[in-house]
Amino acid sequence: MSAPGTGDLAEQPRGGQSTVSRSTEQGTTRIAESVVAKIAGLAARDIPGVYAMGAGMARRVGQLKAIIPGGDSSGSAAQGVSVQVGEREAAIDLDLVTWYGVSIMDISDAVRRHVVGQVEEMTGLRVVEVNIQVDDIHVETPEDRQSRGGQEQRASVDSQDQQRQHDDERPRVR
Amino acid sequence: MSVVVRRQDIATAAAGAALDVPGVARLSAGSGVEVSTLYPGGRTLGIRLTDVGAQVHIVADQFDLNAVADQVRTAVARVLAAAGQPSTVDVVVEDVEPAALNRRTAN
Repeated sequence: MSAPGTGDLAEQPRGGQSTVSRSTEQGTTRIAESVVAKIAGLAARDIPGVYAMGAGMARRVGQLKAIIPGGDSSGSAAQGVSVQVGEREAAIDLDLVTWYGVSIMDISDAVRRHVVGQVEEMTGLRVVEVNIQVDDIHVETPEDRQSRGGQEQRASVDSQDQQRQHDDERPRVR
Repeated sequence: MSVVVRRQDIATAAAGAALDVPGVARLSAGSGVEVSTLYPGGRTLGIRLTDVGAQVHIVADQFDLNAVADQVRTAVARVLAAAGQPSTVDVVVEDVEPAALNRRTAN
């Protein structure tokens, strides 16, 4: 073991919750694994086609927690995400539920691209892999349609297309 | 320093180029699995960016369909090439507007 204060990053205890991503003469920056997990979880949810995150039981418990007033919602961003973070690199595993009717390959490609971009940009860690597991698909229910404002009656596929296209063409404030 | 063009911008620009082609009424998400490019916060329907280029699904309102498809291919390929993307473009004519068919039978 090296003496404390040598700044040798490789000597830091394993299995800790935080990881060093940068060290300078004046000190080190530590980014916790949960931070990486949260960024990845939020990034994945940005992609349309992702309905929910988390596998089976964890997802249901998470949904319950979200309903209970005062329940813990802070952890929910990282639900369905597990990360292994090294000194400079991170590997991310995601559990997704996708919408029925959208290509799972399209969704996972978009999720992977966005998660890698966001995590690398925000943390400076290099993301070596994003493994995506699709646990379930969600079929649109009447409740889903109502919660979207009840505008479209699904009269025809084409009018729906135009509606959605219209939505997508609106300029988005960033 | 490399230039990075966001996928959503490529998809939007390519969709716009396809729509500008005379004979293209609109893009279509297809009748089966949705044809779209997904990106954070939204999607562009009717165009799917792939590893080799793009698939564009159109609804035509003019004949000859092959000529329309060729123009769409050229227009979209130009956008992809300008963005530094591979530019093999598959065009699928999903539908023809009834008005165009009526015009054709009237002639």
